[in-house]
Amino acid sequence: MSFLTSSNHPTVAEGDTVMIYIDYSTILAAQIDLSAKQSVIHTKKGPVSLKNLIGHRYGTKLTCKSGYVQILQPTPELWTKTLPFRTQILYLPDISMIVMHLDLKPGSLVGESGTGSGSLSHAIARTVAPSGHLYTFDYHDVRVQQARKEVVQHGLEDIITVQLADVYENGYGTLENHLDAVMLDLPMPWLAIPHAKKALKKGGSRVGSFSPCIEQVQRTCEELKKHGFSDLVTLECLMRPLEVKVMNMNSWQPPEVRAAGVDGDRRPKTPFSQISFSTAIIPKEVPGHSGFLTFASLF
Amino acid sequence: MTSEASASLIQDGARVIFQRKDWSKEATVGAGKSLVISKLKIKTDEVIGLPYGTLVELNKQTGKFDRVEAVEEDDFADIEFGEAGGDNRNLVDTGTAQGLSTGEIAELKISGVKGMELINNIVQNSSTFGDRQEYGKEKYVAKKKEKHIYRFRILRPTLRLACDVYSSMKVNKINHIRVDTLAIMLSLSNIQAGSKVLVVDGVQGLLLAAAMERTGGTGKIVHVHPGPQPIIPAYDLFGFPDSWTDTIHHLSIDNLEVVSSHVEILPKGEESMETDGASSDGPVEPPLKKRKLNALQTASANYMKENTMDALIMASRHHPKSILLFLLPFLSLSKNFVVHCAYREPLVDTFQALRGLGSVLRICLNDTALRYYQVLPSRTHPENSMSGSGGFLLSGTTVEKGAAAVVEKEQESVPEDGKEEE
Ligand SMILES: C[S@@+](CC[C@H](N)C(=O)[O-])C[C@H]1O[C@@H](n2cnc3c(N)ncnc32)[C@H](O)[C@@H]1O
Repeated sequence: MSFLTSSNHPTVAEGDTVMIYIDYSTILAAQIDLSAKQSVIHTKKGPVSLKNLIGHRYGTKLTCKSGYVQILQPTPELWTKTLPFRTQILYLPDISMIVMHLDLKPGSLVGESGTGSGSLSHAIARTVAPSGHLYTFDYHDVRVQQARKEVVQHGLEDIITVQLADVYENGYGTLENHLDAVMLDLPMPWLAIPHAKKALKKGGSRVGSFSPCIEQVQRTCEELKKHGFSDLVTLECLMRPLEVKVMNMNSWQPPEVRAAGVDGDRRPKTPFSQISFSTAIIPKEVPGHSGFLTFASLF
Repeated sequence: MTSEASASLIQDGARVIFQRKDWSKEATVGAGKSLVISKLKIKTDEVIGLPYGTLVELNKQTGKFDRVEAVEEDDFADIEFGEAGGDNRNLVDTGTAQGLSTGEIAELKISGVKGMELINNIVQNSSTFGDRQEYGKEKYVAKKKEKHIYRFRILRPTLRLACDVYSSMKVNKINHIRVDTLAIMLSLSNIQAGSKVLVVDGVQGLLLAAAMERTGGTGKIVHVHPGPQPIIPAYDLFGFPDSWTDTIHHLSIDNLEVVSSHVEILPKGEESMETDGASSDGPVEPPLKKRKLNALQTASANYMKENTMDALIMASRHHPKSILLFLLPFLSLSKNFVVHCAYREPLVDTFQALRGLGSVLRICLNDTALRYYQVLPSRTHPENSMSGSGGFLLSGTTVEKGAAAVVEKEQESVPEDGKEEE
């Protein structure tokens, strides 16, 4: 019930989605639902009883059998990290660029296809709420059901409408000249472009498309131009985490420095002394590619 | 005319963006207002009443903008070339390759031949053009285009376009924040309608504008700014409604200490009172420091003393560590902060300070890369130059600073109130 800050309350309540921080690499999402059968989550810090979270402040530490866990307010970013996967999903850097490049803000009316696992949908909903709306479409029945359930659990039912439809065939339902932006994350985005054009307002609305392969981008761009979209840009955005560490290196001392000794009294036994420094290390493996983002305007 | 329709027309006094493919500029348009592009002063009267999104071209004779029909910008990159891989073995740079003299080009321009047409003329008259290799051709056309086309689209300001404006000419003024770093800051900070946001902005008001755009005037913003007065051209370029601007509390960084509980704020009062104001308030508890503030700064400080905030974003010329540590207690629990810095060392330093606090979780230091692509049939490749850095981002989440380690030990011997299960 608490994805939007405006409906946040400081303590955990029935109906909330909570984020349980276990450690640096593990965060779990849980629904506080007293009627549900499964009310205990087993973590490496020990079992956590969801019922007992009620009434505790968000941000608080809770002791478990072997250590403690921390309870956090849900955010779209944490949801992306914890959601049950149904499809490939979009992650923070691409999601952020999409929200920015589609010019989204409170009040925007947005179309999305496909819904997939709803990773992007949550970030869009957060930004367009409370007066905007997201119409999201997927042709996969089970994914649509699941997304609808989550929308209600997360208190976003006034912001998100999930619809079952094949957008290649049927486009964006009855939406015509209505949307400020449309986002495509589909295997063949070019097939959705004529439909997106119909659903978009004229006079500066935005369209975006995410595709892993350059051949898809090529076709998408051709189709966008063919349908009169302008100001096309294609870009790739990557984020790499840096690891902050104190490192040591041996420093070789030239003979004259050694001869002088430390404070003039004792000569060091080896020609080496240690220098330590704080640094931000680039991990050995970093994300190299997620997909290409293409954006265009419709005037 | 419906209000929606008239809202899509450029009004007198509107804040707009003049956008070119590689370059954008902000301006206020209206009667008697002009704008300077390439040292030319251009009247903007003409654009009033045009719909947003209109393409205009600078007419150098009249010093005004002419409305032009939308032709596909990329067309002209498309027309002249076949596939990549032209042969340049016969290319000799003789300096005479351009068949049109400078005078002739000028004449064409005077005769009113416009942008696209002009380029095509030049391209057709360049004897070496067909011989140039693909890469060379693109560069050649790009150069010609840069020189001859003064075509702009007039747009309503958005965060994306504001980033364009700053990245095309004054990126150092915004500490090298890039569209992607700003975008990620806005995600990680979870700013949204209704948020109470603490903004430390040493970047011309760009962060302030971002917070305002995403709260839509429905939140509260405390804006900590360098210098005695906020200087925020990047905020001003949006032309936000006054009612939105009223949701901002400005607080100079010079006065930041007043929000601490150790400082008592004294009203500045009338000018004549100023000197005896401090002395008249004789004996108070010694640890209380006193500061005189004007009414607005006092209101900002009091707001901070009385409220906890939902998000903290910061991009400043000041070293971030002490400011961040000072401001973190003003965030509610389980809220997020993001700090941008052009350099990584100050953030490494700050990261280490946070790690020891116990009141911050998920401390992350990131950098980002942004690469643009040219997408054309058979000639798709990354752009030849890219931005080297958009700066670094340090983010984290506030949590309760409990002595959990101790609790945990007790926990093992004393089975407790059932916070933990079986
Ligand atoms: C990669 S997923 C989208 C992931 C989503 N952006 C996210 O962040 O969770 C692609 C989705 O598009 C849906 N899809 C594919 N073709 C479609 C079509 N023609 N109409 C509607 N949905 C379609 C698939 O069912 C799938 O769920």
